[in-house]
Amino acid sequence: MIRAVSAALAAATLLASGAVAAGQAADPRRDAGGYPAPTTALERGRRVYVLSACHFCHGVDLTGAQMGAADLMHDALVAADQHGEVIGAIVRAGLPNLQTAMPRYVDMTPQQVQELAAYIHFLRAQGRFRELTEQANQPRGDTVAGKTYFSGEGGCAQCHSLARDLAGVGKKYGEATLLATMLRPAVSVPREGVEMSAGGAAHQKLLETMLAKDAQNVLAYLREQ
Amino acid sequence: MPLLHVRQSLVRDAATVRGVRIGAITGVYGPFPAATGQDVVDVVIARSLEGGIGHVELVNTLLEPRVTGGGIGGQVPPTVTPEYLQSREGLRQWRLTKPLDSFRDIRRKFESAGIDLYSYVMTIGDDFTDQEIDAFFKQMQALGVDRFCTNQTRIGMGPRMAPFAEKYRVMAAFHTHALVEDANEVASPASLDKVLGMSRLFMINLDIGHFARGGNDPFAYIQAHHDRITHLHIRDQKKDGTAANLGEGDLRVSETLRTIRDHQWPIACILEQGRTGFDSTVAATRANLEYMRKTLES
Repeated sequence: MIRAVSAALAAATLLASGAVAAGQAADPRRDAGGYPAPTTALERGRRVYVLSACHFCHGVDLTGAQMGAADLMHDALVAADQHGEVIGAIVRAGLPNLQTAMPRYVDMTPQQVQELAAYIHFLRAQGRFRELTEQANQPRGDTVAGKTYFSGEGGCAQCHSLARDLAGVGKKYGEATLLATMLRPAVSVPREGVEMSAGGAAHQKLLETMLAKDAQNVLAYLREQ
Repeated sequence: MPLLHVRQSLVRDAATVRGVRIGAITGVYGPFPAATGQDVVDVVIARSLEGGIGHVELVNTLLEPRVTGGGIGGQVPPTVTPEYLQSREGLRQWRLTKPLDSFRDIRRKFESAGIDLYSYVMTIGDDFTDQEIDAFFKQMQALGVDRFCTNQTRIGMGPRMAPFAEKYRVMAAFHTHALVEDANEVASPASLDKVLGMSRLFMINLDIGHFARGGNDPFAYIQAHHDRITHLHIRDQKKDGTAANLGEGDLRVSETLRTIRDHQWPIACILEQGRTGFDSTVAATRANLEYMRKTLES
């Protein structure tokens, strides 16, 4: 997926000053617990999530394991989903062989499935952002491993370069700001009336799956520049 | 008459229909967003009044601190992280030290609103200490409930729970699920026989949906074991597990309600299902309770 959007990503400037400000301004604590989603489309997804009682088992922030359901914040199937292909298949088929069997929602329309999936991905990005930025006592990252991730698995180098758009970012921004903006630049924050760019979508997807050690490694790599 | 009093009066009148108590578990009419400094119980009560919910089954997670990275079903996760250990111990200490007056206050709030706090929900996970179980039963006493839904509690915990149920005279209503092939799960009729044999204070909270998903017949089971059932979790679905609105599935909901009414069995019918076509979970719950009320009156 990262490769597929590389051309569009190239156009996105990760650390433009406006991006930093907007990214930080996004409310990182939105969940399904009565907080409206930031866009009309996501709000439709939130309503599907709540009115179908997904929150009862999966929680208002996806981490509802205490009620017997999968932790969607960290679930591999959600990570594999793009626009509802995986989530929709599960929602429609149900999951019978669980302690708390999940019903089959066969009447859910394709649009509802897509909106539900988009909302789940949004919630997941919110939660993962909190996890990656608020966990205390993270071990300091490894710059070599950070470079490897930046150029390889993370796909960052397909669009960004420390010699061009990211030149000097390690000195320009404090560690917390750099980490927050690296994880969630403004282009990846949903906004009403603004279609998210491929670059933004790629960042959101990366945020959903990125490991804490990888985030710290890339941060160390950027900070070294 | 002030609006609040009108609502309280309406809720009281609608809470018991022809001798059958109807209500809802909080999960179906949440979430309950509390403003900074606001007590979530106040939000639950306001929504209960709005939804006409006279008997409330309160889910423990609304009151308790969260566990980070917990396992499915309230158990220890396969991978234990430092965050899990820290938050789980935090929850344990909360249970051990939370002043019982705070639970008495909750009871008072419900009573003041004219709502019956019918039951509480608690999964007693395999990692509960005896002190933790004891503290929980004390909380039940302070809440003024004499029964609780065991949620995902497994059979193996039964022998450890029985002395506390006897000591505090609180009924553990074992909640049924669907995993009938797991011998430690409360799911099959045989598994229910097992827990019922452990204590006279062990009862059943029959979730008719989960029970049916396990291949069992909830209607037949209720008829045969009504004297050991405190309450039902009412929901509906098609035979193949397809979600269905109340009364539109294959779980014989209306027959179940009327049978309880006709026999005047003291089995409360607690809703655990949403309903399509509504703008809010409160409105959907109100519509479901209206369906139950009309069914009982017809």
